[in-house]
Amino acid sequence: MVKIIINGVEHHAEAGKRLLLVLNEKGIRVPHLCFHHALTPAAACKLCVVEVKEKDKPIRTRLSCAIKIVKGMQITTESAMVHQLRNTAIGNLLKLAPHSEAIHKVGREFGLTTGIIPDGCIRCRLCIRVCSEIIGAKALRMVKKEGRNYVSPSDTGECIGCLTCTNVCPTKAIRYMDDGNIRTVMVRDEIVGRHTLERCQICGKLYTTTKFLEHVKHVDDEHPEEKEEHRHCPTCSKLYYRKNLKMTATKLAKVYGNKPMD
Amino acid sequence: MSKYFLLQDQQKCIGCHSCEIQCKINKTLPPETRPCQIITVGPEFFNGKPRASFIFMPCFHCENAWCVSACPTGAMQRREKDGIVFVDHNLCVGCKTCISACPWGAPQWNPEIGKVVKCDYCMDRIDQGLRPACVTVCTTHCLTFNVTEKMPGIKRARYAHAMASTKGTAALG
Repeated sequence: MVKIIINGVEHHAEAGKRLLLVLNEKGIRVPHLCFHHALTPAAACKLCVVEVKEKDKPIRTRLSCAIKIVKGMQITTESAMVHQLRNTAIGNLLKLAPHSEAIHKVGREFGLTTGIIPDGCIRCRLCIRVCSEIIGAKALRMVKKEGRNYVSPSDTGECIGCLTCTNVCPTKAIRYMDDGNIRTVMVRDEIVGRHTLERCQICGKLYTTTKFLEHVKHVDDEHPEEKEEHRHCPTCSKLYYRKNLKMTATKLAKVYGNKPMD
Repeated sequence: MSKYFLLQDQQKCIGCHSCEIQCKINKTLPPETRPCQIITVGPEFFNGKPRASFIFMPCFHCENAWCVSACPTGAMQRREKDGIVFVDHNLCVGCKTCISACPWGAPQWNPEIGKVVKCDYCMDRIDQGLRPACVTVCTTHCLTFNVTEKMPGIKRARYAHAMASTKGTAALG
């Protein structure tokens, strides 16, 4: 056992033991993410940095997971320099794993600068604008939560499942999922709309939502002409036309210039 | 209808799909996006022989186009000077209303850009005095493009020919 000084308080510790282990045993908290008791230290996360003063040497910043206890060691676990280095370290870690809850948790605990957990949305409001200005469904709006704006389902409007919002979103933050005949439109983990999908009457493929077809029908009402009502997917619309083109013997005769068969 | 006409002589068409391919190359489209499409009808037995016909389906460029009236942004337009129906990609938001509104499936979805594309008779080429891309590569020269009044009278000539050969019977009904 040797004497060491941690944050101005005298302690006894086993010489040659890893500093981080000693700090942990004494209940002095130091942030770390890459340390494991059973493994040799890698000094990768660089969060466990502390200031160390050894005999006849100037004060240095060292990684507490990597260095061993030496007699008379003076350790400072919190200082302006340490804080700055930990901020740099956590910034580098967040570049690699921006969504990691573990990094953000450590940051919060030790007062480090982590910013917000990115949710993929850049707050451009293209989805909200296209839904209210073009589609007219007004299914999305901005909601302020804990001082930040979030695209959220609106109480007043109703989603029709047209997916224009997912189409215009530059970062694809609004998602949709077709499961069986149900389409779910989501922003983060909030559901914007759940819709039944319609089958094409010819090929049987699920191709669009019931509400979207109603929306198109409403638009069609303003057209001066009438068209036969059918539920065909865009591919089969062409094939449906082909059915109308279905050639009789007479028509084939026109095409091939032969005398028709009776 | 636009002031142009894209005539397909079905007697000549062999269904080689060159027109479709050239259309895609010209507009840089993925395989599933088909502004024009050859639709095979048949084969059906005719005089003991199987016969198929190949119908070229571009856009009809309707006078009162369903896609134009359905478009909520004004991206789908009818060009005033010649009646060509086209999409302005700057305005298209990809809501697909036009795709649903067109009874013939002419507007096509381009998943690569998230916008609608359709046959516009290659109006950029027409404006340069060129013919539509599909017409330029037609292997059997069955596609003809011109202003409507300059279309060749092949149907009429052929009809007259058939009438003469069948000695005036109403065989072609």
